[in-house]
Amino acid sequence: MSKIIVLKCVGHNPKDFELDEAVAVQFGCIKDLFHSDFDAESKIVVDVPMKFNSYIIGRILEFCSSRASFSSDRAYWEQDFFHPCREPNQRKRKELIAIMEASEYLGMESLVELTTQSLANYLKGKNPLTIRSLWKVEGDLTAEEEAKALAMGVAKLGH
Amino acid sequence: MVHVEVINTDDYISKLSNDLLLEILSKSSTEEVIKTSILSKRWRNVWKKTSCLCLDMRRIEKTTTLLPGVFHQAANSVTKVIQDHCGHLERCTIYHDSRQCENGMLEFWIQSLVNVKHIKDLTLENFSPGSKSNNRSNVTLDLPPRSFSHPSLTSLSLSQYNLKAPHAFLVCWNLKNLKLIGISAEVEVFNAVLVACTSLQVLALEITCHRKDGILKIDNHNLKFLYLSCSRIKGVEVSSPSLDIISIGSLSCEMENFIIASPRLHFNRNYWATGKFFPHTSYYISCPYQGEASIGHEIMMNGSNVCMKMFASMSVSVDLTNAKEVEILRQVLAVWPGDMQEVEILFKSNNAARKESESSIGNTQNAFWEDTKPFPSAQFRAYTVWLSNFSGSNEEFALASRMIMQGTVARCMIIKPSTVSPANKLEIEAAIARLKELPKGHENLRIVMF
Repeated sequence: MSKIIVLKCVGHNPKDFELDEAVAVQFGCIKDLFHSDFDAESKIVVDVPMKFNSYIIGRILEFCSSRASFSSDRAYWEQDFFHPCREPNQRKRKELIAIMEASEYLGMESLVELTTQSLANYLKGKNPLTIRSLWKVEGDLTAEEEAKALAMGVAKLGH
Repeated sequence: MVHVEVINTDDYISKLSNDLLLEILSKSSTEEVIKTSILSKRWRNVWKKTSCLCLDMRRIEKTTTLLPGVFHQAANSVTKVIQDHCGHLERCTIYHDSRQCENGMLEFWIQSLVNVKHIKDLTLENFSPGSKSNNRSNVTLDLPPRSFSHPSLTSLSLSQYNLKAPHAFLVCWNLKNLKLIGISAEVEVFNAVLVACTSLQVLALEITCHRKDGILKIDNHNLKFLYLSCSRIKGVEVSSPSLDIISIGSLSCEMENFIIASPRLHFNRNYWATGKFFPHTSYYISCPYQGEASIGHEIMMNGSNVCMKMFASMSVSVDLTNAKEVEILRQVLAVWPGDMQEVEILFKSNNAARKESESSIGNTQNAFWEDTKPFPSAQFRAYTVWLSNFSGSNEEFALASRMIMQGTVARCMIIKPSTVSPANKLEIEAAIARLKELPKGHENLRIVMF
């Protein structure tokens, strides 16, 4: 009998997710459990921090199950997150960030790679004012600090 | 991990950890990265921890005719960026013009990046308007001794300079990768640079010698990959027993003055045999021991590889009974940009292949040749294919037949049999006869025995 890992979400909409080995080994923080010495018939329960709700974990597991992490199948995500001609709305932005953080916590390198690339794509070609407006970044530099940064001319360098 | 409390609950991006922000910035251009310093206090210093900087003054060069002071200000900004960066800087690329060589700024940048920041990978390119057409460098790179000698610096690329002396490279055992592109110097200077870089594994030289009577000597014993494109040179002597790949872009010397002491890289076809019109790569495919990366193959697969060009030619030596070697061959051909003029595939002889298989991994029989997918890919084309040391084995026949039927070879397949006994000769001739009867992907394809 194969080992079973359970991801226990206790936050909003609590839910338990049972992972088979093929899915669980994609999580850096879990895969070593399959090599440890414990009764093959027992279950291991992994608690997920409250900040990661069951919807986000469900989305991540959907990703794993579709084997996107093996084939780098960006098309699957592109429709939802990575479409180059479309800006994500507020809900999508929040979801992208939540998946990114959850992936980092769970040690899913491929999904961290995908989500950070997606965010970099959204920031590309936008001036700071636009980024602030779209991503609700509060510009709290003083006028002097901002002028100093601009006066360096560093915004004109780089490739 | 650093977490920052942000009052604005809708500002999801600023609450990400520094690690994740740096991961995002690592996928952005340096310009985008530095711009984030203006977003907010949270972002002001994040860019200073990025691991890679690319500072390009070419973008500003166009404005200097109207505003000469702008260029000087930009150069000062480069200095400020280098000084303000406070994280672990791994890689830096700077495009600058001749003024920074003349006023000492380039020297200061190199000293900061190499000796203070302990950078691993440094690329410097001098762009001087109007000088590139004849590939002659127009600014002399005159640096203090041992400028590139630091244990951390393993990769160096210099473009478009004149080198007066080799002393910047004194005691450069740290360098594993060296690219000299558009560099001019006396041949003695080049030879001295190569002698000083004792640990080189990858070397790319696109150089011009001041006098035409020099011999370029390459004796680096750890060298795995060598690219040469040399003008005004009398001869080249290569003595690097570990060399897996040698690629010639263009050489002004004659074949008899090109001496290479590497039996593994002797093929029937070479740069001179194809008429000195096409760049030619010779590749001895071998599988490293488990865990060891094949440096030469990594370079071949690298998108910025100098030797992969359209209409080039290549000779490659492979053991078709070794699944890993076959896969390496497939990968190299599949990523080649555009059509190839000529490909020579030299089959390792049965004795040599058996000896290698005993000590390498992946020597199991493989079902690769039962597959019907195009080899190496549906897009790959070569006008001429040479099959050298052909013994008529099942694997060799399978490769040849796939290339014929799937249109991989456009004009001519030339088969050079191995030196065999009369009994084997009949077997080879029969195999070639069967190949000629196969349906051809290209109607006018000729199949001949050499």
